[in-house]
Amino acid sequence: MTSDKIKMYVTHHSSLITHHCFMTPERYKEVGRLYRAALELEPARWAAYLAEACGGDEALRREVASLLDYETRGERLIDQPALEVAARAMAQVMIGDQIRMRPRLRPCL
Amino acid sequence: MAIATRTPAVARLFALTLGNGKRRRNRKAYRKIYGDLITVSQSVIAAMERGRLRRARPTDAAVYDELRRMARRYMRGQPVGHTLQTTALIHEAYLRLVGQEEKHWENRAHFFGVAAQAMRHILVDHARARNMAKRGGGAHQVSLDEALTIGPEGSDDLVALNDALTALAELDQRQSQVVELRFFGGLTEEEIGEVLKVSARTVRSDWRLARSWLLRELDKTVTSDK
Repeated sequence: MTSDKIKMYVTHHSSLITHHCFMTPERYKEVGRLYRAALELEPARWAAYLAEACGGDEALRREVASLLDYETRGERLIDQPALEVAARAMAQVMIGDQIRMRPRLRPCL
Repeated sequence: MAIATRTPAVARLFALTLGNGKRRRNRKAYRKIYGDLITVSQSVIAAMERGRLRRARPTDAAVYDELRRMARRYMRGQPVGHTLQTTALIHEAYLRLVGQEEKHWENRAHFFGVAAQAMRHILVDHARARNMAKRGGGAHQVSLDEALTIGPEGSDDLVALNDALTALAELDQRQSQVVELRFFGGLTEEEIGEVLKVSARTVRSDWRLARSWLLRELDKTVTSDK
């Protein structure tokens, strides 16, 4: 198959594939390449860059764009050490236990 | 309960680094700084010095103690400027162990890899146990538990993140390692670069891509749950 034919094949079929259900390591590598390249640019230029770089592979463009979307969000769970996330979860459980105990204490008062 | 019966491995790691001769002075200082985090057990040290160190993991009572301590701070509504302290604490334990007991490890990378993996297992196991306790706690408690959920973060997220990270490893092993070393192991980008033998710049872009991918996976989990 010539590269053009492959491209047509991929373009045609990728529209049938909901994104990244069929993600393979090779595909992910390609996504990564575009993602890293986009990070070198201003966020304002990402859309234009992807439109050009994905060469009509709409599924690929959507895939990378949806990931880049997470670059612009604020404070994220994963940016804190796991130990802290765990501690906060534990605090919720401890507060829960305290509140649960209250009705049992009431008859004593 | 499984958690309570675990052997105190972080304590063991500390004990190991503080075990002999001239370190007695340090031991005193450490007791002061880390308090109950240090539990010195001669038999454990002896076992480790007989070459069983590789099985040592920073699992343990000590991690749970630290967790509980941090949790109490959250409960009191204290802002946790604790991030640095926590990371520093994990670090300190790792570094001292690596520095002083190098011979037991193939190399630093091996050690950091194992340590981060261990931390991942402890915290995720613990989160699973919390989830189970929460869900198995009887029907009358469900609505109360739900009402108590403060914000979107918690045990569920940690478990979901762990699952997503396992899925990521199928796509890109190195990226999943970067996340494990940074999020669970508390390593800096430079240190991770050293462990994985890539530049800090590569670590950074691996991290950014992996983070976006994982967060999107988490969003999907949330959406499909509803």
